[in-house]
Amino acid sequence: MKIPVVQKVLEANERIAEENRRLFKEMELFVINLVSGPGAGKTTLLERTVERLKDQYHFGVIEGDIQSTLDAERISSKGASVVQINTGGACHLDGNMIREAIEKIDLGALDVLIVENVGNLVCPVEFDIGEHFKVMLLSTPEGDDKPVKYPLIFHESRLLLINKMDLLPYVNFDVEKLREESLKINPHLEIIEISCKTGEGLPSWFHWLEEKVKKR
Amino acid sequence: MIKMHELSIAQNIVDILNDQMKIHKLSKIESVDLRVGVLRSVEVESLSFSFNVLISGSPLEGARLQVEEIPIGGRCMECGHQFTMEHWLDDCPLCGGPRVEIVSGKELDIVAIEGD
Repeated sequence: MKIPVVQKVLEANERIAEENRRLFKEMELFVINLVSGPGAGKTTLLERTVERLKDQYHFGVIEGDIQSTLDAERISSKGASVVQINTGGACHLDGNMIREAIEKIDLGALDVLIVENVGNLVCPVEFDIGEHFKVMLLSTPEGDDKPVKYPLIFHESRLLLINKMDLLPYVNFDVEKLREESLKINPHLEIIEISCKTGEGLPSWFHWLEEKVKKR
Repeated sequence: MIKMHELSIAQNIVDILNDQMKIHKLSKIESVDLRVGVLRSVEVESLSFSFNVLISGSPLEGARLQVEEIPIGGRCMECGHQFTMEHWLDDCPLCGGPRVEIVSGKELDIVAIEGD
């Protein structure tokens, strides 16, 4: 007997993500899902961001790591409320992990929640967690071939931060080519060039965040 | 155990099949038809491997995944021509227009199950 069943495979996750999204809305919380490959500088970006804006907003950070609490300790020392999720091998965070993690923070006290996903450009894109926007972080030493190799993350992100601009003279990274290809995949993508080391471009990122928090 | 998104996806399929067995009062499932868009970056072999590991020793044991891969479909925003894209950077093959909207390739759906 053949039974037609049209069902999204990830429907269960999408349902939970929608519940998270409703909760974030009720709490007037702005939520970012921060995605990058390993070593692009997600944790350093968060340190700089919390340092600079902690008098304006109360930040919550959910740290997804396969193992270790190193990143959580770094962020926590800057003054954000941090919850660590050790995925124990999983390559991404999903809606349910976020639902469990937010039970451990006082959401009502927060203005901005940033979810630092597991360093990976493929799997985190598949799993909605209920965020407002995905923000992709790409660093210049990783190379400018990422739009062709990992188009979906470019398509699904609202903002692309190109980090480690201070290393541009030493690496093969064509910023113009990257911009052109990224915008071809996603004409709505906003792009900001930054260096968390020198501070270049960070004011534009802070401004982007402030604008979005205002409209939350 | 190495986890990958194929394993999470396989687990979701298993959950859906267990529900469907109850709903339709099936004692076994022979095959499952899936539509998977290439933009999902799903390795079919990894997915089948994960699925087989998950169902081994369960009432679903023996069920086969039949995957139809859906290519990226684009529609030219200039002339409206629809075509299959090699990747997202392709221009319209008809008019050369650079603005192309993605209309398919992100599917991840179960479309049918066969069982008794």
